[in-house]
Amino acid sequence: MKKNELILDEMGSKEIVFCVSNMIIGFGILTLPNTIVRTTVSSDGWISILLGGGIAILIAIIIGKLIERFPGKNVHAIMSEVFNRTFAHFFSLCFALYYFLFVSYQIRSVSTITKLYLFDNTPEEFLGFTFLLVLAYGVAGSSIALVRMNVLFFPIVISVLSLLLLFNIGGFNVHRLLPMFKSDFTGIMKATKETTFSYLGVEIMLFYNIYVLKKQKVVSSMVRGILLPILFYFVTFIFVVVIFGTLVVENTLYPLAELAKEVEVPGEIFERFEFFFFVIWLISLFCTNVMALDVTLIAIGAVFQRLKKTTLLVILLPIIFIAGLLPSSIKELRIFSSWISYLGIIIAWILPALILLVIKLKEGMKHE
Amino acid sequence: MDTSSTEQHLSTDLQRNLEALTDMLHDASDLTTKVFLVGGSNYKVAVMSIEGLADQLLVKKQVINPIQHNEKLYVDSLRDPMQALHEIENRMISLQISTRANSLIELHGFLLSGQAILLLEGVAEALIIHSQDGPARSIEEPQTEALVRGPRIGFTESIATNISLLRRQIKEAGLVIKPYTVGKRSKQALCLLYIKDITNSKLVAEVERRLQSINLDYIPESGTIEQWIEDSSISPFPQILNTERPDKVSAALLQGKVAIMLDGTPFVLILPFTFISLIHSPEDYYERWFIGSLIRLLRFVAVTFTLFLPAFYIAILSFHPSMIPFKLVFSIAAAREGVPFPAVIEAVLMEVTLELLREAGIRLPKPIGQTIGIVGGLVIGDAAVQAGIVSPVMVIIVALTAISSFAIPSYSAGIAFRMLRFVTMIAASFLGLYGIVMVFVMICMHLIRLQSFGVPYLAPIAPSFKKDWLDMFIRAPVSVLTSRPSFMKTKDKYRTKKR
Amino acid sequence: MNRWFILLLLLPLLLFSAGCWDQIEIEQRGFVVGTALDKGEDGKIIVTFQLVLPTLMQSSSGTKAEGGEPYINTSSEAKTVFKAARLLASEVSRTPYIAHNQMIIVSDELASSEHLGELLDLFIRDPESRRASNIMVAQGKARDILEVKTDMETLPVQYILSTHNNPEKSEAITPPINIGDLHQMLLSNSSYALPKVSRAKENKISTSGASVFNGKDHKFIGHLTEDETTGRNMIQGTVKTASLELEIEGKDLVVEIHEFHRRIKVKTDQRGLPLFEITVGANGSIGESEFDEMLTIKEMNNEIKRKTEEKIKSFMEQVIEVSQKQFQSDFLGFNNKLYEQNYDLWNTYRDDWDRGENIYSQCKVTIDVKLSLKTIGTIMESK
Repeated sequence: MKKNELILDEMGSKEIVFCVSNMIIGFGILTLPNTIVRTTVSSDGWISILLGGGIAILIAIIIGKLIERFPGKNVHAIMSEVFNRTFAHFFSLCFALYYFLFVSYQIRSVSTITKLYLFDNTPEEFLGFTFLLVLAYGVAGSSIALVRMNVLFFPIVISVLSLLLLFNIGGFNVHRLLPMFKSDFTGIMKATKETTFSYLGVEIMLFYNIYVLKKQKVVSSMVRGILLPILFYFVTFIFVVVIFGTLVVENTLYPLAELAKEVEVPGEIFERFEFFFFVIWLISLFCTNVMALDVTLIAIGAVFQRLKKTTLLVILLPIIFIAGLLPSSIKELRIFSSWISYLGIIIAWILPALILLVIKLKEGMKHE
Repeated sequence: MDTSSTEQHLSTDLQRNLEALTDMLHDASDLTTKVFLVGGSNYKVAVMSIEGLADQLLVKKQVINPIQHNEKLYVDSLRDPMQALHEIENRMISLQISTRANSLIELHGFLLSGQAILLLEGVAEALIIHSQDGPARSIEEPQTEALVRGPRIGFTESIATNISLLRRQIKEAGLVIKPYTVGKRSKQALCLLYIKDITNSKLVAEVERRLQSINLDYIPESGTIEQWIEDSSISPFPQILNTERPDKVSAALLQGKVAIMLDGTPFVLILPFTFISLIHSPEDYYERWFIGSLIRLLRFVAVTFTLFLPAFYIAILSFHPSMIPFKLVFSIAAAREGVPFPAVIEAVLMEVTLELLREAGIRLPKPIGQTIGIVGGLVIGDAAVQAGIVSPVMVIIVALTAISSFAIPSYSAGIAFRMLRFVTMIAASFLGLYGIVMVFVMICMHLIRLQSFGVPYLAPIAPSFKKDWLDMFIRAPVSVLTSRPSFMKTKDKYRTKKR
Repeated sequence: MNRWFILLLLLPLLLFSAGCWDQIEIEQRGFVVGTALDKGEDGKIIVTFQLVLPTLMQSSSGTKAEGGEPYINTSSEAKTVFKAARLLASEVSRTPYIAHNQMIIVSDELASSEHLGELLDLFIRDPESRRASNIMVAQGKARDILEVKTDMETLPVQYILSTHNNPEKSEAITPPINIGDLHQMLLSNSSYALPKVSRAKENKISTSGASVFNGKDHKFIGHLTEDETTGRNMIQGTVKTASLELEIEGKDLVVEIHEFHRRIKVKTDQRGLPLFEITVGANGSIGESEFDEMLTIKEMNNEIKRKTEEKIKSFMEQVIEVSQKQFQSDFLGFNNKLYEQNYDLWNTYRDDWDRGENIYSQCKVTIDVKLSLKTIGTIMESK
């Protein structure tokens, strides 16, 4: 049956905002305070958060301007138009590699955290496998559904996050903010590197541009999409520092989870808020990963046009799963994650910036 | 079965025609034939109709009588039988004559639709006289959709009555009622209804396209049509609404939806259908907005309970007892002492029992049905607890779930949720809360992908239409609800003038 | 073709479902509601768990169980807490489940010989354990505290908890500390004090007082008396209400403090060492008096004020003296104040604060108390 569309498959500004925000808010927020506090003194980490956010906004503007010029086309098509197809293929494959590794890492992390906080004896692999299967179910369909899923889930995630922070106001000890501005410049810069990594995700629009049909203000939506995560990173960081103190934050792997543990639900309807928080968090992680996996498939599909989506999926799934299992310790996991982040920054942030530059130059040359 | 007989058409010989028609109907016992003479002449006339389908009294009074007692003499003076027929048609019969036919198969069809046939000796054509009537149920309130406040009328099995009920509510010329005939052997009447200036024409075109693809022998109920034309038969969720209430249908039509009526069933289909309509009931609009909103929220809670409550019970008890508040934990653990089964089995057992009770209760006549509910609920549940097969907490959970599922206005949707409840329970038994979340995500994904005639199932949540949120989980005051749902892409956007 | 292939891939999933690893039925769990750690022979640790018998726990309706007490205290001995807990698991028919553990009591004897963090490592690290479990130090055997029977509450642990959770009613009770807070204190290497619990006569316990731990090796150094604890609470600003008994002209008078706030300012004195200025503001009223006439009380207003302020000041001075001279540990939180207000100075002295050169012992503290005394109650005369 042909699909009769009363409603078009398109992304409006609201979809863009939620899509970008949900993509960014993923695993980073769990570990971020820990990494920042290692190199800064007391609460100065907020500076790095804002700085990193500034860089992310810049990138968002660049990417936004790039895709604004080509409504309805994803970056592969744009590249083919501006340069040549081989270059577009190469770029897409690199992008696919980045997101592919991203998904493996995330699956691994999700299974680790879930096992740590929710279960005791269940093997991690099983949890990861289940997650992978649900991801596969999500990807085997139209991509616009994933975009709409963000619109559905993002408010839920944000409300639970706000609840978490709200319930913890009782332990708010403003004195722990002091002293301020005592960190040195290198410390802040190192932390900014980490925070910038945690804003990775805005590049998803490079591929989801296929759904932006009308010429509209993509840039402002993308910037708004980044502002939300900035706000949340900021508030979460302040809360974590204020409630725990930097010393504890430095020694806790997942400060946000510990924050969830601190919550005492009013009326004692149930204890252990962290379980509830976790499962809602899983939803957000799911959205992030399903979009990443989808983009991987789109990117590879753009290169190998005759390959069916399902075949590609079946080939990729085991590889992703096994790749996620390769790092064998937390230290290796960290190295894995920083490689991926570097890869992401180069491919997804710097390259598009260069491309925009080239386009602008070309236009400038045309005018002469 | 197409007759390969040579006689496909009427002949001028009345006797032969009568024989041919009687043969075609295999000498049916309810076929009444009256042969008589036109008053004041020698023309032989036969009127055939099927008892029970055609109103015999009507035929007698308005057809047979006037012709028999016709005193005008000029009939006889006309030698031409065709003229005579013309006279009969125009001057003697006071019922509506729809057409003339001479094909046996057509006549056969008309007879079976309740029309009366008039045959004149010497003419190879028959008059088809409208005389349909038949035993019909009186109009009463539908049982499954009773309201506290609202019109107490419901559709009946006769499509003519149903159309008339609807016309009474929407007295507009733009109400298009398009007739179809479906069912190769049953030749049932089906009507497609929509309001011309409101409904999106693409929607109408799509519905018509799907209706025309129906290729069945017999359509027992509108449910068959529903399953034939819906978007996805694998999905547990209904994509077309069925209702017995005319006020629901007229409200839907005014929203830009399309209705389908089938002769022989009081259940009318409304499409497209979205998830939000599952928790809507017309009563929300008849009471004041505050009450309407609160009750809608309550129904939403009911939906959540129906889907997830037993699963949560299993997950929390077996996997995460740390979530239970300190003072409650011991009473629950004490209650479960001595219960031989793990929480999963207990839950599944109780749920299956409840489904059995519910199914049994439907078929029993009213007085016994009530008793079974009480017997089943109280006695069996209590006995099970005393015997130590289930824990009292489980009984509470199951009862609450059952009550919540009854609070869902749409019966078909309630069934969908009841099925999915078992899926979440199984997921919870494997992976606790993680399992529940995974299933929840999968259900949401399925819902997002589902479409009903081009409208995404989860509109107006995703994709998001802010204006429609006023009528989603809450019901904004009437003065604010000024526009029709935007996801219907109607031609006429506003119901009332904006104040 | 592809559909079947995917189905084939899904088949192995069924293998996994052969075991639901973490599904333990709730009635198979042994709910541990209280833990006690005592010193055993040869450096071993005795771990006592208080397990609840759910069927014997009666809810609000119903009489007391005929079957006996709704709990069991079981002990086992091993070198580490973890090992001892495992030994317990092999002796008790239920799997010990510490997610509802309300409190952990450590005996002072054990705490003085072992690093507190090592002792409680199991509870801090295990995700199953409850972050909100309270920690207390027992004077004497911790096991005995768990044995205290009372008619008002069903479980001893409940009794201990509710008695302890009365800091608003008594200023000599140290505010509850839970595992989460303890974790912070363990990491910070500064000294601290934990609530103290001791067995009073006839099945009663007393939760007033505090137990001091040195931040260097996290070992127990000594107990604080009630007055010293009051002083500590005042310095830390956790006092909500207090009642002070004074003697004026041979007659007893009780002043009740309703509001109490304190500010600590860090300055530097001539030696380059930090100087702490404590400013206290309090609102009080007369609670109970042995005086006859209201007039007398009005005249004596200033006298009463002065004496109360002195009393408050003496509480604080007393405990400062104890911390500086006797224990040589800063369990009053001055270190933190220094960190917050003068980071560079803190950095200079951070390694020598209450160890090494013991800078802390050399710091001066000035206290300034201002009390405002309100009305004298509603009775004009009581005789």
